[in-house]
Order: sequence, then C-alpha cells, then structure tokens
Amino acid sequence: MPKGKNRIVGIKVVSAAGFRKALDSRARRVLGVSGAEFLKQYSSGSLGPRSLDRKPGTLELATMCFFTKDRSASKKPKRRT
Amino acid sequence: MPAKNRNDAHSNFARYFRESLSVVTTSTLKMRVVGDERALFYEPPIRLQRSAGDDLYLAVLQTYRVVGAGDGFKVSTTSYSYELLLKKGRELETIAEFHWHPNADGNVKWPHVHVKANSPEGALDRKHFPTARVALEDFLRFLMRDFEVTAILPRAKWKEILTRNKKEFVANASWLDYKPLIS
Repeated sequence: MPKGKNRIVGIKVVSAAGFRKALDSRARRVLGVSGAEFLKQYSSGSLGPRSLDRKPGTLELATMCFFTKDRSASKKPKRRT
Repeated sequence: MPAKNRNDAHSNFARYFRESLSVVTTSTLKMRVVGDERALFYEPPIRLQRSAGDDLYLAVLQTYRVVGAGDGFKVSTTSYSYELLLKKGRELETIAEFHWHPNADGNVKWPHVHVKANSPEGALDRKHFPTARVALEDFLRFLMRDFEVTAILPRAKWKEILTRNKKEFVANASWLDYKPLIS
C-alpha cells in the first residue's frame, strides 16, 4: 500500500468503509438500491449470472464487492508487551 | 519494461493511470488495496470540462493485480469500466460504458460497450457490442474528439502523455490473441 515515500501524487488510498461509499454510490445509480442491500443480495448468492448480465453496470458492482472486504479484520492482534 | 519488484510494478501502473487522467481532470483518484488486488476508481462520477453543452461526468473502475514477468513484475488488468454520463436536472444518465470483466460471474467475458440509445430494435443499452480491449488513453481521446471534453493541459503535453502511456500499455499487454471474442 502506498504510504510515506511510496505515496503517489493525485491518488488517495481508501479504507473498506471508504470503498463501501463508492459501492453505495454506484448501486444507487445503477440499480436504485443501497450498496449494503446489493452486497447482501450478492453475498447470499441470490444474484445468478443472468441477473448480473441483465442491467449494464451490475457486473461491475459484483466486481466491487470483493474490495469491500476489511483486510484489518483478518490481521492478527498485536501482542501486548 | 517489467519492474524490479511488486511494489514498483504497482506504483508505476497507478502513476501512469493517474497521469493519463490528468489530461482531463485534477480530481484525486481513489485506490483500494485488498491483498494482491487493487482498484483505481472515480465513484461518484467526476465532472469534466466541456466547451459546450450539458455537464458530462466520468466514472472509472480499473482492477488489477501484479504478476511475475520474466525476471521482474508487471501489472495484469482484471477488469475495467469506463463510463460517460450526462447530468439532466439532478440525475446522472449514462451515455456509454466500456466494460471488460473476464473473471466476473456473468456470461459476458469479452470487452464490450453499452450505448444508451434507441433503435428500430428497441433500446440498445442491454446489448453487449463487442470491442477490442479499450485502453483508458483511447477512451479519453474519444471523449475529447466526439464529446467536446476539454483537455486541461496544453495540446502538445496531453498528446505526449496519452501516446506514451498507450505505448506502455500495449508493450506490457498479455491479452493480444487470436481467439474469438464470443464463444
């Protein structure tokens, strides 16, 4: 992740919460539902390939779901000293 | 040319991508990193400068990962979405969107464009018109040529940036093959 000297001018790295805002913006624009609602439907497997192909932009929403994962959730807790 | 390490490959690609977009916008590009996968995006869409007509907006989503290439590393695109929108009142309406998402769950694996238009056949926006792989640089030139989007850099500068970065894109492409687009 670009931090410190690896930071790239003109690019901002966002958290999972920041990315969920982007998903919400797109889901409302494309399907008229919230990002949380789309994520719930997609994660439950209720959106099959035909559903995803039906409306332009829906597959991109599916692609975005992967990036809503919170990496920090899988990190091991720091050892207390 | 392949990068020496994963971080350089990632940074080089993000820098080229942002530089190409700098031809039409100063908006900060956003990035999300999850493991080896990365997404660069403008969402919500950003407003573009235009010489005439209603306001146009741009939404971008590019996902990629870094892969080994010979002795070094390079970026491999996993999907893209380049979308042009028009603001009518308070609503944003899509004009055209160029997509490629070969690994997604849907049945459409080939690069395609959706066009918001009517025809004797009816609405066309749900049709997947096949295209070649579209580079961001070509999409930006399309916006400037056919939609009067204004470059915010001098002509010589933006031409140099888009030409150089498209050349880099093609030089590193691993997707040029003979297979039919639609199987």
